[in-house]
Amino acid sequence: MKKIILFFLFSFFLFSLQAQEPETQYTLRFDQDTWAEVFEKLEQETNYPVFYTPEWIGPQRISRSYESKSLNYILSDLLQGTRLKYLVYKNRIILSRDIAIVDELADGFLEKGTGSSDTSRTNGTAFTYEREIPRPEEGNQADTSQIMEVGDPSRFNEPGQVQLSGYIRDAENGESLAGVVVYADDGQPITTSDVNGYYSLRLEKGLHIIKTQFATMQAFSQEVQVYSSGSLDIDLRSKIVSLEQITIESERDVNIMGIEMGRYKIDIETMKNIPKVLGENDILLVMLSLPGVQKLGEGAAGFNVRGGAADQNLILLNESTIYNPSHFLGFFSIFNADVIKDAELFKGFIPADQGGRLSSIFEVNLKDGNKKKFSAEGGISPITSRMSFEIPLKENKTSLLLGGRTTYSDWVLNLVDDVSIQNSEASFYDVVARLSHKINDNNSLSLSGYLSRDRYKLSFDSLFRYRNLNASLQWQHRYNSKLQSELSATYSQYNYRVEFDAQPEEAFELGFLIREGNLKLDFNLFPGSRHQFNFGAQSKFYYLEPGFIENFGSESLISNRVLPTERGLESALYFSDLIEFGPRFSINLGLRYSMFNSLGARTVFQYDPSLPREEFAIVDTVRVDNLQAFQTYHGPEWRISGRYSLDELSSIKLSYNRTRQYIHLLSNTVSVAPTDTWKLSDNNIEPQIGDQISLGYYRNIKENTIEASLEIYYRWLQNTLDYKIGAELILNPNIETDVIQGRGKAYGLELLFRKRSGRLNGWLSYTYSRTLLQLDSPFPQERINQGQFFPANYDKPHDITLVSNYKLSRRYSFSFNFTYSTGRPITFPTGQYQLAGEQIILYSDRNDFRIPDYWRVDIGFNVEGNHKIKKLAHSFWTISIYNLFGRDNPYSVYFVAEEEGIQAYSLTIFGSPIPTISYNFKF
Amino acid sequence: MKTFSLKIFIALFLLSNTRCIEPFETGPQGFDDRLVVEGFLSDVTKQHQVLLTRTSPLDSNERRFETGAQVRIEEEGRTSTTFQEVSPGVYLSPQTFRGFVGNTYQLIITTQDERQYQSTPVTLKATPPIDRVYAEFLPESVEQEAGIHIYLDTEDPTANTRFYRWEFDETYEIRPPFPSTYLWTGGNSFVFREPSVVGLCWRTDPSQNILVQNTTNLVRDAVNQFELRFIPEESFIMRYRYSMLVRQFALNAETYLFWEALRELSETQGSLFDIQPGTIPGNIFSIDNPDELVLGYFDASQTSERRVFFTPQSFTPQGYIRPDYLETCEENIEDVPVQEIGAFMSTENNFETKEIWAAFGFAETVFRIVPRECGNCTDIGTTERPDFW
Repeated sequence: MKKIILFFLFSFFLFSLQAQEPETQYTLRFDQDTWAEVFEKLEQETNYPVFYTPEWIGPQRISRSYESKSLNYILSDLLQGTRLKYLVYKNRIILSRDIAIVDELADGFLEKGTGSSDTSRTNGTAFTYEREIPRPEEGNQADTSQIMEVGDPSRFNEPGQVQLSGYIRDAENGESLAGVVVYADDGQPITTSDVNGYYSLRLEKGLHIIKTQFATMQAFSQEVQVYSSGSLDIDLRSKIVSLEQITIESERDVNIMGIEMGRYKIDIETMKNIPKVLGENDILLVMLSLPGVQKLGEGAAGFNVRGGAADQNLILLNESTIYNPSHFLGFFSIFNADVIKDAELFKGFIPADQGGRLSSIFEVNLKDGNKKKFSAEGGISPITSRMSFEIPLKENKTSLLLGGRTTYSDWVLNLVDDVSIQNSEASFYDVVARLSHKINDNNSLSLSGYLSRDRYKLSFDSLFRYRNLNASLQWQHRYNSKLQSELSATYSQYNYRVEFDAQPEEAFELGFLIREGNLKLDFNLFPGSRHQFNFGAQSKFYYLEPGFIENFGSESLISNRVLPTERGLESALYFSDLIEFGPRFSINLGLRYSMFNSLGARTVFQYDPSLPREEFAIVDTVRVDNLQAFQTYHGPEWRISGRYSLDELSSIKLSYNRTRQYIHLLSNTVSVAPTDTWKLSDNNIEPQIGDQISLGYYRNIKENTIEASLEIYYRWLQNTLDYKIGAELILNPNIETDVIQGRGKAYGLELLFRKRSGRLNGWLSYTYSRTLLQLDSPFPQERINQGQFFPANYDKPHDITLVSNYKLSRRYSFSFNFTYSTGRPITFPTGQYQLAGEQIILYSDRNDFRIPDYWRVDIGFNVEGNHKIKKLAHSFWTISIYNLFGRDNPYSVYFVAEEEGIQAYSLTIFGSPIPTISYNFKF
Repeated sequence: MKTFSLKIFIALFLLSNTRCIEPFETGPQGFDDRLVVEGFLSDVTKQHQVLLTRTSPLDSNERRFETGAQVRIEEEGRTSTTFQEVSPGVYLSPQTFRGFVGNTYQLIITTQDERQYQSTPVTLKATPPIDRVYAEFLPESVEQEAGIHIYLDTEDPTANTRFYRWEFDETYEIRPPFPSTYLWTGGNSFVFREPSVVGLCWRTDPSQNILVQNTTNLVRDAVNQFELRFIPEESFIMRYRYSMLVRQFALNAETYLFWEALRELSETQGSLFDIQPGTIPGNIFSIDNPDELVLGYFDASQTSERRVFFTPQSFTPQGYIRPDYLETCEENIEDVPVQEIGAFMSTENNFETKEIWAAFGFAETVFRIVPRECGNCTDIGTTERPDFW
């Protein structure tokens, strides 16, 4: 503390000086001058010495001229767009970097200090002082030599806590940084910046050290003298990293201090440590290595979180819903890692502003695009290539992000002699564009578009094509330092087509389409007390074409059929309050009230409730007009979470969630074909409701180098969907007669050990998770497994994942991953019999057997280009082998009636090691 | 060097990227040995039958029978009829008897290993008569291949039936185009036989599919143009004369759902879009262990019957062309000298698959040989003329 006081060079600035006297006008001309020359000319012209550190200034050359302008005008114009801030004080020009302290300073402020005579009001400037000793060592942004002041000293003696808030940005490109941990002193209080980079801390008045932590950014540390509420904007510099990499962002302190549980943030750093499949960084693959997240197997689209079905996850790309997150049977995610800013998974506690799915929210955000300099990134492997550009259109204002990815495996497939492989086709591409515009300090706007297309045909089988189309418009507005809002309007579309022409008489084309329009208005209010409020409203309109079939080719005998369209409106109001009860205890109280209207035009069937739900039980058929609501569901969704810190290294968290889901995926997991269709709730299909209680213990061990967490949860599910025996999900006009809704329970335990630093880093996770469903009814057709609880299709009790990376040197690193999970349940044929002349297969109870356990080992080797920062392009090579031991992990087991009886076959997707080499670059 | 390694890579990728489908060993522990019951009581006075079988392992199509069981049908509050096993798994009532509409019946089984089973009590339901069974030929269209459709109409004016099931037996005449006139008796010897002995047969087959329908969504309890059978244009079963005996049964809702579920499950097996697999339980339960799965059904219903006849000529006005017998007959005619007939018949099981149609040449020196099915119908049908023919 003495040291701090020693360096505490208290100083004042007096804009009012210029305000009271007529401002001196200067005329200056710079022609291809360096900054040093610029400042020299300034000194000469004004006779004010300029204080700065040479390291702050770049190599740019400046050409500008000023005719009779005030010093303030000239300085603000010159320094606009740079990291430098200025202060004119006592005939001196003092420059500072990165840190601006902006506040309103009231009368009398200066009297406390040096007794300066000037007491008038000043606005919107920074005051900072430079200590006249050499700058600290390079690469460390922490700078305790400088003390900042925030607030109004005259209010210093007022009682109560104050609020420090501001924006956190990437110094390089001005992008706001979400998820940055900001804390004061030794961790109390602590907060995390929101999507806009905004943070807010409640503090005692006085001297604090404000620190930040963010995986890819250098740590920031600053002493701040706080007099009253005020703002502190922080620009962070990235760590010297040649290419973007990914880490799981459950930061050291966030692990302990953050209030949300079961929340993981993935940013681009960790990805590098995970061996690639076919040369691509894959954000979904990273997510799948987290505890509590599972996948049915290779080739399964979608994933399962905490024992939830695949449709219980809401996947958002800049707030617009992604209906199919996978390319090519689930081998690649549809997200091009180069254009992603971050991704976040909420599985334990789902904040009130999100909803509509039971199990999790997976938010993926695109980069804003570099607003300062052009950059490009790309990669090439024998299977795929990708390229992305960040183009500043107007410096510090507007930037354009463009990205694209494609595969040319069609071309590769055609090189082989084997006819069955030659006749296979597999191709996809995706393109993304995002325009970000900063209107002013209080308004920014972004427009994003995304398109992905897939097309594949395996051997002489069916040709599958599908497409995701997404667009979003986001407008962020800051009313004042306490209130800000984001308005988003999004559009999503997903459709697929299947062409089947193996037999000309049975050739057909089959298709499905869903469209979704979404409007959301979200407010964040920081009233400067113990509370942080988040509230808003959201409304989604759904339009579905549940299916059509058309005959294909002149010989086809298939008759054409179209299922009627479906419409629905899902709306919600939400409110949450994050309350800090002191350094140890905080609680988040949230409520989302959601409502769903099933809309016409449609023909609605009503069934006799005293009879089994079969077509013959239809008692009434009603025609509903266009956009007329024929069924409404609504209800509250409580979102409550609390955190108690046991000590600096450990905490416990408890949360309770209710979620409601109005759209359901009809998925026949027996087949590989991605012909799953979505279905809206209506008068016959009720919304799914989920309740979850989870409890977690978090502890950092070995001097914070290892984070450990243990979470347990229990979930109650209502109205989960399963299917009657013999259910046909495709092109079924009375799908409600084949669907059964029932109860479910899921419970589990998740254990994670994670080492973030050192030559060896990575994590080990273990998940125990069970999901049991119960489908009971007085009618035998609607009773499965005698009405007893049975394992769901995605019930995989044990799951172990090891992700590790060892740095051999600065340029070479080696990664090793292992994953194991219990085989998924399956209904097995167990015999055959004849009845009424028909040969009939006897099956086990539903999901009574399991396919063999899944395990896989991947290795990877990264070779970085040299580490000179100033070379034209950074590059690295990645060599990886997926499934090193060629383990035959069956994806499914199915049965074919042959002459000698019924033969079982297993389908393995990647049954042998897959080596890949890829070259990645960035400039 | 770079291109070389790239090529290696591509080869590796292709080797590994194909989907791999392999036989999968389910293991013997997967076999579930269950009792399968098929019992039906009608109002027709006859020897009624109950069939008891067991499930077979997946790798065997051999049918297994439940033998040595005690089987009886009890009429509510009255008599019980005990069945006798006449052949493995087939249990017949020793005397003829019948059920009565409105009475309730229960099937009771005690297997050899003393396990007791019984059906839920079933009330014998009244069945309306079949109004009409008729057929039409439809040429090829976008939706159908060319062939003969056999339909049924029925109606219950009291609207009490609502759920229907049908079975039929089809009988048709078979006349091979090259009726055999010689019977090989070993070596180079043979005897003459009358062509009519092997050249005119009848074959009767039961219906192969589960045929059910409901009329619950209709104002009238009427089944209109329900398709019982489709005969493709080229099928020879309609070449001479064809007869169908249709039996109609009224069902209750549970029985209907059982058959409907079974129909859906068996019809869609092996299609591109798989359906949810599972086992449809019936109405037979174990007394000792209510959770034991028993397959099959016991039902009781009045039976309405109707027999119809069709000849190919009746469809000629609609554009039907009388089908050939088997195209393979003329293509496979072989001529064998008489001194080689012994050697010819002895090779490759020819004595089982070939027939001597006729002899040619001076003093019958050459035999004309045809495939068995082209010269002898006794493998396909029976030479015994049905009494209704």
